[in-house]
Amino acid sequence: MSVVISDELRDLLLKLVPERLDALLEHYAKPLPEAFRVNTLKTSVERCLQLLEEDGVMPRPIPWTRHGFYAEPQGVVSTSLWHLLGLVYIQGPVSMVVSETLEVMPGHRVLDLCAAPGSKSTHIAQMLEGRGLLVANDVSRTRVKALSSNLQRCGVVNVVVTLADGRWFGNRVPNFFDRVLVDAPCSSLGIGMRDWGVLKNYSQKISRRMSRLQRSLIFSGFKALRPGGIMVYATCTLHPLENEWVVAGLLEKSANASLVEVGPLSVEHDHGLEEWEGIFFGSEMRKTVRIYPFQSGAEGFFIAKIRKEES
Amino acid sequence: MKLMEKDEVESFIHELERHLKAVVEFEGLLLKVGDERIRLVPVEVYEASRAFPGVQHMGLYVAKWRRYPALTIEGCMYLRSVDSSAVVELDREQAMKWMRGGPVEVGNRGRLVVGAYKGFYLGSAVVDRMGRAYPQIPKWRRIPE
Repeated sequence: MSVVISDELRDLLLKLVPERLDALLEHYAKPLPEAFRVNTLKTSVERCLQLLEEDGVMPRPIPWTRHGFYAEPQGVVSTSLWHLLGLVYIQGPVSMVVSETLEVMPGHRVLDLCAAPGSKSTHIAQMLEGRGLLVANDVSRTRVKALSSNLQRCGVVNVVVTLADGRWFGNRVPNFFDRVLVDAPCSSLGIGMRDWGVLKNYSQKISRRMSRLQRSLIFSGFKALRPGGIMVYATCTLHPLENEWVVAGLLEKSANASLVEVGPLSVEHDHGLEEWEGIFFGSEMRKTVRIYPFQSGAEGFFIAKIRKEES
Repeated sequence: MKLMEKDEVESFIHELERHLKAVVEFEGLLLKVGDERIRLVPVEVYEASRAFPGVQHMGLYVAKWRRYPALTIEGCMYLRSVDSSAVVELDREQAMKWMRGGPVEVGNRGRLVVGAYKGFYLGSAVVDRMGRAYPQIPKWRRIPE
């Protein structure tokens, strides 16, 4: 079976990656590789790999992550006892890059503004090593339940789970966090292989609607960030309106916001776009990255790293 | 969510240590959620939480305290030394049964035991007079039958 994409998506991709459209469609047609992260809050990498190998899993390191592995054969890790006990977390290989970009250190105060179902929150908790504070927020009551279960399974103790509209969070707790992650809801074009319906039903209207929400979230996240702190804005989509345009809006309206180079990354990637359909984002936008599915062999992501200057 | 009083914490830990013949070191505050659930939260996290909107919960669910105190899988992370008589070493089949909610035949032991598989604790279980252990695994965490 081949992937069916909407006309509007075809138009978008032809402008975005004209020479690489076939490669992208080919990756949309393939399932995502199963990958997992070893939860070092509960075990060591060596011990975990040994246990998985005893269960017949052949883990292969993901070259661009610290604790990430591809799992072969597929389906064994996710149904294993070790997954249930929280020794491993099933997570996409590129998704792990997003939390690593945040450069969390033990003792930091970290906000994950759109946290459910918790893959990046549990990763952040792992980097905090039980010290400092993690606030895992989401707007959906149902999704907060999944988030809570995953945090529990991973043994995260230094966490507060909140159910709040992320657009207002920054007003309530301004200048508080050392690190803020805004992994914004998006049109999900980077993970279209998970649900072909996304590709078939895509229209530009979705991106326009999402970008308004994303702008509110990035401003809120930035407000919650303390001066000197770092915020990562990420989406798993490709449309510039949901990525560069959102970041450019923040940079334009906040004099104390500046982009920091993402990386160095060992996963193949493109730089962010400086211009899209007559809208100029500036050369600074080259500090952001676009990782396409045909580059990672997995998900597609946009990642921007932003610093809040001291004054 | 309410902070447990000092004497209540002492009594809870005493009960745990008496049944499991263990040393339990909870580093932080213990909060009671509802009548039975106990969560562990670091002091700094508890204090900071007052500033946040829409707090659902905080910290880690470590135990349930009904007639007997029962440690969750994560609660067992705070066990420092446990008498071997209170630990049931499980084989793979028993561990899977344990994670389905049991019961698991453990023979004559105390009323409370901790299950262990390949060096990892699987939470505590109440043992009946017939020597069957009933693990305190929440439904969402059980392996489906």
